[in-house]
Amino acid sequence: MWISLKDVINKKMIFLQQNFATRDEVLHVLIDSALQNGLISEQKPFLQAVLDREANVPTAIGYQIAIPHGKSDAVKQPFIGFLQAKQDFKWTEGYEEEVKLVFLIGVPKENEQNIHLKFISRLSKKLLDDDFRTKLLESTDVEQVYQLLNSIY
Amino acid sequence: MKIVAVTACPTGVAHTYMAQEALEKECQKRGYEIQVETQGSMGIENELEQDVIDEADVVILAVAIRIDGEERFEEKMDNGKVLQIEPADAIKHPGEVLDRAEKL
Repeated sequence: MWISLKDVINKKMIFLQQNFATRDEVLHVLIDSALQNGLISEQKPFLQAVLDREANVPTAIGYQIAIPHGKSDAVKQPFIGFLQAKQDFKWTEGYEEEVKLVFLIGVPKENEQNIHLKFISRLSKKLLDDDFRTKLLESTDVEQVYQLLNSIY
Repeated sequence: MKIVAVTACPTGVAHTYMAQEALEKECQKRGYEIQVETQGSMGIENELEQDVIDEADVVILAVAIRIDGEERFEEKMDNGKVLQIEPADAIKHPGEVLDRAEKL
């Protein structure tokens, strides 16, 4: 089981200590990297799916966390990208919520790989764990974060 | 206190399950029994049977979309025992949500 889970989080999709202060910059970095790492076939439709979801209800859900996500045919396999900002920043103009940890989730439109979704749901739940979150906020080491994110099973 | 809940959000990959976790944690803290049905991208999980719903003191619907099997809660709705909230409310303020549920 764990072999396929490893594919959901790619070390190249983990960005720490980043100096970004807007949602769009962060999304750009993560989505650009998703393309380079072969997780999506093209940027535009996936970005659009993510922005549509944000327009519905912003995905900053407290705890200094935002979980932008999109379901799109452009997604080749379910993935999670992670970005830790140096400073808290406002996720959506007009809303109070500030974030420091961003998880970008991509899911194919037609998805039969429940195991990946299961992993994503487990990780989402784990984010409500104070210790887990503190470690993610404080870590400056990609390898450590990678191990942490993969430790939830 | 016995509580049943349904969580569901538009994409069904993250918030559905975070809301579930937040409600379960808060109930554990308070010593309440809770069963949470999730309607997400993995389909319906932990589906609530009618008898379980009937036994519950309160129903919490933390849903941002139309859910399947809404009719199961009709009787509870008629009795004013259903709290309808957004999944984000359950994630951000589970304590407040439970306070409101208690008062129903």
